Amino acid sequence: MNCFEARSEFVSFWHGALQAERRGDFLAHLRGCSKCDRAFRAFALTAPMLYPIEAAGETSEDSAAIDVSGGPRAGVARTAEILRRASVYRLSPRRREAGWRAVAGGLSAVAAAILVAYLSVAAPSQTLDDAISASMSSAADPNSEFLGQQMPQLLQTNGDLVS
Amino acid sequence: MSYLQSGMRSVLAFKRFARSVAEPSDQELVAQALGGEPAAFASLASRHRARVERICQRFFADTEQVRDLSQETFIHAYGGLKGYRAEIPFQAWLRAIAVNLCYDELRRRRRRPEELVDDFTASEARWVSLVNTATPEQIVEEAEQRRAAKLLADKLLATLKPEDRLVLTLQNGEDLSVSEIAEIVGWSEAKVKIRAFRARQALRRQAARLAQASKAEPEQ
Repeated sequence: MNCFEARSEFVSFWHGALQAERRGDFLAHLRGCSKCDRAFRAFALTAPMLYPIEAAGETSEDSAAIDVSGGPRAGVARTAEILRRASVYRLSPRRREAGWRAVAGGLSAVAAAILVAYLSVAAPSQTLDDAISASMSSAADPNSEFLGQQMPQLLQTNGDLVS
Repeated sequence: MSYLQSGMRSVLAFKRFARSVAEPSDQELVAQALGGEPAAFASLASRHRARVERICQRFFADTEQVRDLSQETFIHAYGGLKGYRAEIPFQAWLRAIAVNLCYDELRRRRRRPEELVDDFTASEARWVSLVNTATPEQIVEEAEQRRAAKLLADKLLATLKPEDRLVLTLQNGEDLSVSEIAEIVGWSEAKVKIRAFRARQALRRQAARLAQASKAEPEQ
């Protein structure tokens, strides 16, 4: 093995991917060539960053936060999570606050409209408290709130930011 | 043994082929995502997440940072999906986004002055000493277990200018050609070559200084 060949095998050796015979040749060359030996030691100083041995596994636990495996429904939910994060990461605090205020205002208006509509057609036997709690629980449903109000807004905001 | 290996390879190739037939291509998923199916983008993210994380890991040792950057990559990709051209492989497009985000982050960080390389911790000093004295097999074996090896490598690379580090990482870690790097970062090929040359020079200098320093400061 010559110096050129030996140096081209640094990465394979680092990842333990050399066949036994080739590995033997490589190590024999390093033992006999001080220049390549020095070059390998210099390579080893940066290799843990440039050629991480456990590259894929290390952050898999952390990135489970947006793990997108698990069927289409889970995929939708997780994409929504990405979109939610997009709005959090990319909006300036002022715009974010204004956005949430608009969402809160819109939700309040919808809840008020539902309440009024419900009260106007509610059965006379139903008490006012029952009617209010029934309408509030439907307005506070996180899924309907997200899909009905926030999702379109987030999609819109995300599109604006990118464009 | 070699029959067994080639048999295994064939099985793997067949599995890859079967998967490629059963699963929609990246382009199909992009079209579905653009057509208003968020689940399609989720599938794309799932498919390419590990690869994107690997790219970010070549630039940053901090796990949290890597996670944030890979997340940011998908957010940018989702936002810019309309601008994606089908003639480019989706993976390459994603890589370009990840690389540019990493480069932005490198530029945002303050570069470490060269003197800081001398200021390494005891475990980093032991690692340098081991690299200078142990056999190549021992070095590789130990590097897997030592966090100090990664931190020191990060410290060493942090002494480079962001553009030098970018080129060095893409050329060595990602095995990209000069023209591919030039295309990703939008520089001329000459600039990429100069940066690569300077990065290697600077690293050699730093490695020599480290070796010198570890000799002067014997193992504790």
